[in-house]
Amino acid sequence: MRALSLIRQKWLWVLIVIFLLTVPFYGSFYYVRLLNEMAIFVLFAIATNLMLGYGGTMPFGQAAFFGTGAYTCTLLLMKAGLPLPLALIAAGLLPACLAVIIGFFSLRLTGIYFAMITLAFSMMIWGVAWKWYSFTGGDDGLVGIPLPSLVAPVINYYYLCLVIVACCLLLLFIIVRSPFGTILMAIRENRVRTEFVGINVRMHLLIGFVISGFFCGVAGALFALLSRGAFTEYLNYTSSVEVVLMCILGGVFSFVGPALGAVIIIILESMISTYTQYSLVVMGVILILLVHFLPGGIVGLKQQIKGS
Amino acid sequence: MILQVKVLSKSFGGLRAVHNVSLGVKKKSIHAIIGPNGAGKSTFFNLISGHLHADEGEVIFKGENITKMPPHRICRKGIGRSFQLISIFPNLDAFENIRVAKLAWFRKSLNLFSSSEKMFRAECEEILDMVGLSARSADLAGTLAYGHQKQLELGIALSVNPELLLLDEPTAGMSIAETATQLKIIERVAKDHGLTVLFTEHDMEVVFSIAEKITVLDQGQILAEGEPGDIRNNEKVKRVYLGKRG
Repeated sequence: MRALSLIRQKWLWVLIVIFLLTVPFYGSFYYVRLLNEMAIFVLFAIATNLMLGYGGTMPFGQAAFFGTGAYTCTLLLMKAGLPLPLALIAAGLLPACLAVIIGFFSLRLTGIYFAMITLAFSMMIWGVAWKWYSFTGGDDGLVGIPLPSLVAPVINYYYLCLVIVACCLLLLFIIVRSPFGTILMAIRENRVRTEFVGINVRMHLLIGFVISGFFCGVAGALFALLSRGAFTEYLNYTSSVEVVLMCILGGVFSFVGPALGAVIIIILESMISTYTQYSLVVMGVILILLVHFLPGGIVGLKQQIKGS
Repeated sequence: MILQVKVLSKSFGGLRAVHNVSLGVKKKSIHAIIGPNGAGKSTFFNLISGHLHADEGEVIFKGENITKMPPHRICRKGIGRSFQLISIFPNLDAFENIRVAKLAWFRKSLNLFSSSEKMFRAECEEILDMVGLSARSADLAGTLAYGHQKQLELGIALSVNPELLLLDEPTAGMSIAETATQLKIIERVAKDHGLTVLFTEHDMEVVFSIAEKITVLDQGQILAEGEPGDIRNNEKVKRVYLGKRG
């Protein structure tokens, strides 16, 4: 039975990959762009879930890393004229450094206090970007990233994005299956017990936070390149809430859960926004229903059905 | 002496939970700490293992002052502990519970790029076998029976290759049969691996059956200390503790 389900799973992944690779041949630009956005948010959600589902913390300021990644990449391309690969790497490294500072102060706390302090830090960064017109463009944002001609066309960028996201997801997958990933889960399960088997819990969470920050930054940079600009809304708390919502909707206790959540929310957002401008209200209702009826997310529901 | 505690004190607000307690634990001995509820036994354990920091006094382990060390460093020095209320990883299976401790002990916790799946299989199986949980290896720890969870916690404490094992009420809440099994495991493991065991316990039968030395705490202070026979006949102990039971 297990072998059969593994084979089925393998075929499902093969189909998904074939679909993603062939869409540009028969789909419109709109769908290619939508899939591109999904891929980026899948990375953002899975990177966030490293701290949420695996580390058992409540990171409510992930927008700080996503937005900083977006601004770093945009500024380096627009103002410093750096080559794209270097700008992308820097867009991961700067948020990672930021995560060291935020994590150093916030990981002393747990639960709601950790959530609040990460939110506060992210709002501080949002405030800086909002006010610092000469550098960040303030509420106008930065528009018009010069992309190399090879990746400028929508379809070429789509493929580039797929490759980068796939590499990042592979790295994250390896990390969650590593001894470090096991220790993160142990911390989620029982912080005190983990400390008493000889683990420096805060240091391990800080490393997890930095890894999460790095990949959220890369996701932010990819999104800036897709939108051809960086805007303060990437740094706003709504982005933090949205990514946590994606993780909870899909299910935080599995690797693919947040990816599923990201895909569903992007589809819902694109559908809802054609009917109403109050898409956040609809998202709020979804969250309330989820917490009440599907605390394990969609993956959790699937496991429940299997179990019964 | 493997462990020496010198005039240790800890207060919570106005309450003196542990007050000027000094004691020595001999290497490879089984030493019990008893006392009525609220005597300060758990606080005393938490002070030794770094869960709490003492207001005054020192804890010396193998000649090194560990008083201000954080728990993870104390653990690495060779002190493993269990808790009064079961403390395991409930949503990981029994095998993974042990593996977490093994990964920590072998300093693999910062390994980001190898799969943990095949690591320390033999070592984990050996520990599960030692605590009698081989048949429960794949069960989620949170779904195990209470007695098995206690055994698993003992297994986690043993996985960090301790020289000194601190057991906070290792048989609390267990049935008579489970208590007997647990005691046998503790005695056998201590003997086979040359461990020193310091434990707190409510059940006098348990204490007198395995302890070589007993320290009686009352209101945060040492009331008496000696071999089981001395403690059984000590008038003060009978009055404040043993007498109350009967």
